[in-house]
Amino acid sequence: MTERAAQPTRDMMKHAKILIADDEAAITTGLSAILEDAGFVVDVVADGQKALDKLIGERYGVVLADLKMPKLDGLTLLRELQQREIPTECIIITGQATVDSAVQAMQQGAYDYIEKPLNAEKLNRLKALIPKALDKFQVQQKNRELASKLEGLTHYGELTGQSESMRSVYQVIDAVAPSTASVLILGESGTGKELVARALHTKSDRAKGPFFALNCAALPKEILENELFGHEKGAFTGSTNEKPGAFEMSSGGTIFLDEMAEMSPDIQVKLLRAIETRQVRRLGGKKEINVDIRILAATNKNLQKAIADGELREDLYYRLAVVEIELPALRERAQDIQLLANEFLSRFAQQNGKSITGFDDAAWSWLMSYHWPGNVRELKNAVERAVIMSRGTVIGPNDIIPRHLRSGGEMPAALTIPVGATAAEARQQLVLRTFASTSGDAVRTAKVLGLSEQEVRTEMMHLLRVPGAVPSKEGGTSKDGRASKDGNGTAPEPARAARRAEAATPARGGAKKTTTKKGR
Amino acid sequence: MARQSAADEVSGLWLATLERAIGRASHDVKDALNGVSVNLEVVRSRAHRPETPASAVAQFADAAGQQLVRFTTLIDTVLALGRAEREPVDVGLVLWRLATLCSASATSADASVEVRQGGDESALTRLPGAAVRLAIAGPLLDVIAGTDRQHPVSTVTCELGLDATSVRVTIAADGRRAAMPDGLAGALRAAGVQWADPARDEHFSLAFPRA
Repeated sequence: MTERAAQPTRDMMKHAKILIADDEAAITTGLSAILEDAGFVVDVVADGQKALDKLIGERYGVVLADLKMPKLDGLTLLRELQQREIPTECIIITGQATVDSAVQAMQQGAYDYIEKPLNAEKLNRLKALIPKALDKFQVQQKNRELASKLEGLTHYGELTGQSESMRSVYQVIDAVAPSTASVLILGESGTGKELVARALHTKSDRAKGPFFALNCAALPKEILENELFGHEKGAFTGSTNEKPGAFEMSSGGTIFLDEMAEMSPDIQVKLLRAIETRQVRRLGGKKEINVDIRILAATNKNLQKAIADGELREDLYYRLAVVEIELPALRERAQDIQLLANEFLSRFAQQNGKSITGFDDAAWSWLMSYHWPGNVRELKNAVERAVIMSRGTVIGPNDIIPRHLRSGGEMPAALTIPVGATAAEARQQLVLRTFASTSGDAVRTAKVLGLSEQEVRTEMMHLLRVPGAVPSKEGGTSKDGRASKDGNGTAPEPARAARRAEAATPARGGAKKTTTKKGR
Repeated sequence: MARQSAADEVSGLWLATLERAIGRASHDVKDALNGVSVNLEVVRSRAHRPETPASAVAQFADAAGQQLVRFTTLIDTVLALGRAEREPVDVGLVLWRLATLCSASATSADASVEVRQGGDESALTRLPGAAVRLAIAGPLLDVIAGTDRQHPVSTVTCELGLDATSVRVTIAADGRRAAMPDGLAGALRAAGVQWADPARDEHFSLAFPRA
């Protein structure tokens, strides 16, 4: 039983490749013969630089590297492998087995080191070391694969989100990216439309070609036309040189037209023609220039209304919207707020050289309950500002809530309760949101809701599910002064409760929702 | 008394230089021994298999033999340089030994040392052995082990020549210029070794009075 179970592992090891890096041909020939006789697949290179090049291109379970080699010595090779995060296990073979060099090699991540000359005893030790090193390599390889799969659950290219709605977006990108179809990306400002466009480009066969993004709303008509189609020398006053346009420059790649509904009608006509004929003519030019482009467009406008109002040509819409991807607003994927906030926090804390460990309970409550009209961009800016302003190790409500939104000024105007929620759950949501909007002030919450203070505290205790744990007026930093995120990085209970309610909310376009105006 | 003291200083400097040269060559010595050991191990393990043809071991037996020659040459050289030189000193022989030792230390720097010796005439000098060894080894080792990484050396050429009064050793390195190390110059001049600091585009040349 044990023997049968061990067999596949042994087979796997035999298939893992070993790289020998040594400038001594007499040694590498003999050593590779010994290892090949033992059943390993072996490649040989004559210096450290060649070893690095080989390891960048191919995967080797174990590298046997001489400490002294031309171009790149063994320790430098090790350092490069660490810095470039190239997965392999390195065994250093050294003619100078000083304590220093051995310690240095092990500190830099070598699996082991063996002193020359490799007599029969040391060769046997090496033959015994290699399967162990391969075993470690394969375990770590599996860990990397698992980590990558986990990363894939929460990230896609530069996009972040693990909600159902974002996973649907990832699936559509996966399906559409390899095709040449034009894609129209819809979504509110700040939802990440350009990131979707970049992901579509990166996952397509055009990934090696250029990606050209142009904001159609940011440029006056004449400049936009010039940017899109370019001009010939003398096309207009001051055009002393010819200039290729975005279509020409992104040929072989992807062009992304953001805010496409803002284009003037005559540019829309030229654009439609360019899409249909795959040819463009520069301003002042006479010849048609062939272009090989894929067009991605985005808008946050109501396109049906824009078409009805005559602002957008219907034929252009159908040309661009072969596939539509609709990005959810952040408030529609509240379960991603925690992931995004934590990610922005660690990014900006690192950028600003601050040791901030998280958000306190009151900050989390506000983050989870605010309606984020500016979407991810607004969240990102809020966290960056909070990191810069924060003086402690935990971000509190005063750091994260913008001044104009403090003291209950402009908190979420509406609360979404899914059909099917119980009255008790609706009441809990109402208490939670109001509690968050008052920065954790139970007295004010009670006053706003027309409840007694005791009733508010009871609801909050119920939400917190900790008997007797009544949050203070300042919000819920835990006793040790750290934000009460638990060891698994999960949100505090009020936030979790909010997410439970969000999770119960049907997906966009799903079942009917009941919207309750928040009382004040 | 003063002459004895100068000779002692040269001997001391020579031993320090030899120690440095052996230290740098130790990797090559171990590599050679490693080559013998690894290739013999292939021969040994394959020889135990009854179906192994002779061709499967011959290559490794040859390689082991070549590495053994390399190893013994290096060891012989180290032993010879550790003994006192017979006088009058043969500059050609000293040059060959030092080139062999320094060549070993040069391999880690991806460089090689070549010796060119013209004519059959003996290149004997009346100077003491330690002074001759030190005068050649000092600049040779320096030009190989130089820390100037921007100008790496690939080949160092040592040329032996004779004229009416002296035996000349010229050291030429591509990319770097050989020179007498400052710490050795005083003792070697006192011992009778001559050289001139090379002008631009000239190679470094030592002159030993002929015996």
